[in-house]
Amino acid sequence: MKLITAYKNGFISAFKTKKLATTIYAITFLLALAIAIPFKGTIMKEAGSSMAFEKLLKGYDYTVYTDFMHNSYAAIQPYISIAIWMGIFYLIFTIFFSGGILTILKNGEEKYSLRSFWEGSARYFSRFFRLALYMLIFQIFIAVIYYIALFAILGSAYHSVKSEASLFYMGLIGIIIHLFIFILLLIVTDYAKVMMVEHEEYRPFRTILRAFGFSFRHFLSAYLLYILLLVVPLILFIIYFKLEDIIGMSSGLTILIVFILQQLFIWSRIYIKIWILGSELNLYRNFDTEVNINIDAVPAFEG
Amino acid sequence: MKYHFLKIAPVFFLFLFLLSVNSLPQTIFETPLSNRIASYDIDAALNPEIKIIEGFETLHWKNTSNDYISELQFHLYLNAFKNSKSTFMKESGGQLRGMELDQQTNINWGWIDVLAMKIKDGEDLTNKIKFIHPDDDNTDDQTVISVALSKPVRPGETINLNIKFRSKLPKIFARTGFADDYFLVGQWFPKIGVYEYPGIRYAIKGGWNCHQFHANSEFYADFGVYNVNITLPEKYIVGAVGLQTAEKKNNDGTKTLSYHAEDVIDFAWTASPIFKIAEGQWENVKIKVLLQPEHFAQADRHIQSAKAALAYLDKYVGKYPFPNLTIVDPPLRGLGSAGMEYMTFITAGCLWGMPDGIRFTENVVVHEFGHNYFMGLLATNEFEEAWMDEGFNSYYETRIMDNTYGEKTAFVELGGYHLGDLESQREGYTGMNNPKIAENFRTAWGYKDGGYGSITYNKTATWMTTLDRLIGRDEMDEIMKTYFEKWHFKHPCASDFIAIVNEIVKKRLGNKFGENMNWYFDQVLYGSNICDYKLASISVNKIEIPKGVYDSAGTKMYYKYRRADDLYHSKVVVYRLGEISIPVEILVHFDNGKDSLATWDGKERTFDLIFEGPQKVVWAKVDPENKIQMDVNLNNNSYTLEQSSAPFSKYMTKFIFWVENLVTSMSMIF
Repeated sequence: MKLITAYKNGFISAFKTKKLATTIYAITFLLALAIAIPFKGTIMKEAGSSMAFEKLLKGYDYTVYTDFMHNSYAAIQPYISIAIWMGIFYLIFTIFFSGGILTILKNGEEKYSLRSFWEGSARYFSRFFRLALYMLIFQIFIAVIYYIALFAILGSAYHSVKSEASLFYMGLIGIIIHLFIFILLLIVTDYAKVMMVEHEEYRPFRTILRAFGFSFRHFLSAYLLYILLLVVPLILFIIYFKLEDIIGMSSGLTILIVFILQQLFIWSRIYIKIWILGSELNLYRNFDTEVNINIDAVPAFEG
Repeated sequence: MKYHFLKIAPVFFLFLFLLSVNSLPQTIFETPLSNRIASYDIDAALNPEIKIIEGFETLHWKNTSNDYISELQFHLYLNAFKNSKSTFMKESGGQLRGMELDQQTNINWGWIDVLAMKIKDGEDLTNKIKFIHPDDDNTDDQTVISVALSKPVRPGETINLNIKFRSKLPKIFARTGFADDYFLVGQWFPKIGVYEYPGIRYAIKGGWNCHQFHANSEFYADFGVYNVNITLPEKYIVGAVGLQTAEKKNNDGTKTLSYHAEDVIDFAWTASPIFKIAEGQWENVKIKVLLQPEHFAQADRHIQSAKAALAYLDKYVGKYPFPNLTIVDPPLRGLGSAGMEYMTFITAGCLWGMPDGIRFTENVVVHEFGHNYFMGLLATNEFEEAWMDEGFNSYYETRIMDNTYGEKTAFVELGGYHLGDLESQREGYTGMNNPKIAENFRTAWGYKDGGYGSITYNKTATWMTTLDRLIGRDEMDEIMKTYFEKWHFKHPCASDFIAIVNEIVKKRLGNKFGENMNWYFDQVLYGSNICDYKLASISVNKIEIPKGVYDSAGTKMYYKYRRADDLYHSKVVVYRLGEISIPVEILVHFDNGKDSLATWDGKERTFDLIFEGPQKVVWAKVDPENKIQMDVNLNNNSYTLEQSSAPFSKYMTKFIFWVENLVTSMSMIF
């Protein structure tokens, strides 16, 4: 029940602060646009006045694409590098904004307040940055050890399995197990953030340990809540993919329609991010209050 | 009663025996299809524990030349895997097509020993065997032997040799050997080379064409009849070249299977205790597929693609004369034996769970079956002219795959991504870092710095397609049918094929492409240059009305022109960027909706088309029908003055979406 309550309340909190989602979305869009505009200029310059690229309106064309890449990859490659660096920069941006988001959610403000948001972002950035660094290192460490072991197992199994089906299933199970661990660590990270904001914690390492404790004590609720929230963008992506397939992008109008759908999808992903934090905050408070109530419920006297 | 039974029993059993013998084919073809120069009777016993075959063969070799031949040369291909010093292992680095030999485990090596060689009722040749190295100075390579004869083989004479041999199969990484209890046994017996003499390929005098086994080379042999008895444990299921004629259970837990094949150039076989068999039929051809149990659900993919290949090649090249085709599906650890060809017997390759939209299995079946024509029925020399089998076969692979599964979807059709076979072949050549690395016409081991696969397979398929589109499909089909008709069951070479191209093109098209097509082959086969035509520019300028003063009969007059319509001077410029020149068409489109098609011999570096009139040129395309698949950049073949920005907007929005997804996914980490 706490899980469902948290899920619902998280949605309500995020809905109340939908302008916050829009603000973050706008920044995201502008960052992407900043690379996309010169990208478009470059591909147009490389294409010259050729008509070959009109084939790409109807859909993917292997010959047009590969001839272009053979001749112009050097011109395109920097944009791919920039996009990857932008991902790293955006991670720092996310660390910064997480504090602002949690501040807004914590205060339960009816109206999105830019001042609260920036104040919260700045207030918690240093702690959140250290927290993110510790968790990132931990994630990488776990992944490296895990996959070394997995590949060793698969490599050894290769010489004894009857068919590649066995290898496939072993690999799939291995990936699923790692995904489970990866998500668990994401959950721990989120609850660490929540605790830092709720209790004004300054020690990330200690908070991580407490977050581990909380996540394991309320494992089912915490994990299921996260999965329920992750399913939403997955469903939305499938819907988007199907719609894009039906509509196509073969004319100015259909390009515009699909572009709008794409941006709605991105907006929804940011909204869901806030929803996740809101739900986790709510769940934490419910369990935390219960603990507090239990402590407070000890009678002052007997007899 | 018992007495009567004892009297009639022998007759009864004799009748049954005669019935069983007569119900199995003793000959396949009433009239030999080939000159049957090299025929083999082989008894082979496989010991699957130690991976050794004890063999005894009788070779019947016919001297069809006018020479007195006092030396025989043989291939001992398995010695390529004897140690790391062989030519094959040195050139390949111990790997082939991504599969590597584990050199640390002794049982993984392979070899073949000739234990005894004797002319039937004649000279013992065992001590006269010596290793030779016709291609390099590698004295450690033992893949070719020479045997001197005291008494030469006379013209027209057949020599019968009894050869005792022992073959140790390698662990599969390069076509042949073992993987656990799966065996694919290819190139496993002493195989006589080909004696070439004037009339065969480029020979100006008689001599052996018997090359060492190289990393990039394949094989070359004469046609013959094979009778092979294979003895192995009963539990094994066997497939082989030719037809099974008998099966006998032995008292020691083994069985002996007899095979008979006529007018083939090789004999290979497979054995595994776990094959599952699927069968199909195309006209009179029985198709048998030996599959791994986990791949049995994909049996139909093998059969349907084989049928498509049979039907297509039968229609457009020539008749497949054999009554059977066996397709082998190797197991995971035996994938080094996948994608290989022998006459009437091919190995494919598939993976469990392969989606229908990824037609890797179909592609391999079509390609390997096609080799029954190119390298099989047309028994070209794969050492010296690998392109004549791999390249021609790849050309037909593109035709069959694209015809059967769609021009843009033949190879892959999954989740919005699609890939045709021809476009894949073309890209295999045009996408090379250095497509000029070597010309087609060189020995298989002559690609010193790489490029063998791309040049032999992809480039050949691409210029064959270009030739097809230049001269026309009907003309190309007549060429290939004539080539097949004239040269099947023989050893054609490049000049034989070119002669037929010249003959048919002249007959059908006159001098449209010049006296002959040698200019084409000089560039694409014997040369290594690239082709690239570019529609460089279009300019449209209004033709100004003359103004000013002119003299007329001693009087100064002012120009007073009036035009109902403006007139324009349009200029279309085409560049030849590559070194290869091929006649091209140029299509020009005007703003009045009309088109003009011009032809250019493609020789100069630039070519201009000028138009004057009320119409303006809007766009132009060089090679509008994409006939010249050799062109390394088809994107620069067109030019428009009214370019649409829609495609670029589409990809810009996709790029934005991709970047946004990337960054929001990164943000999920925190």
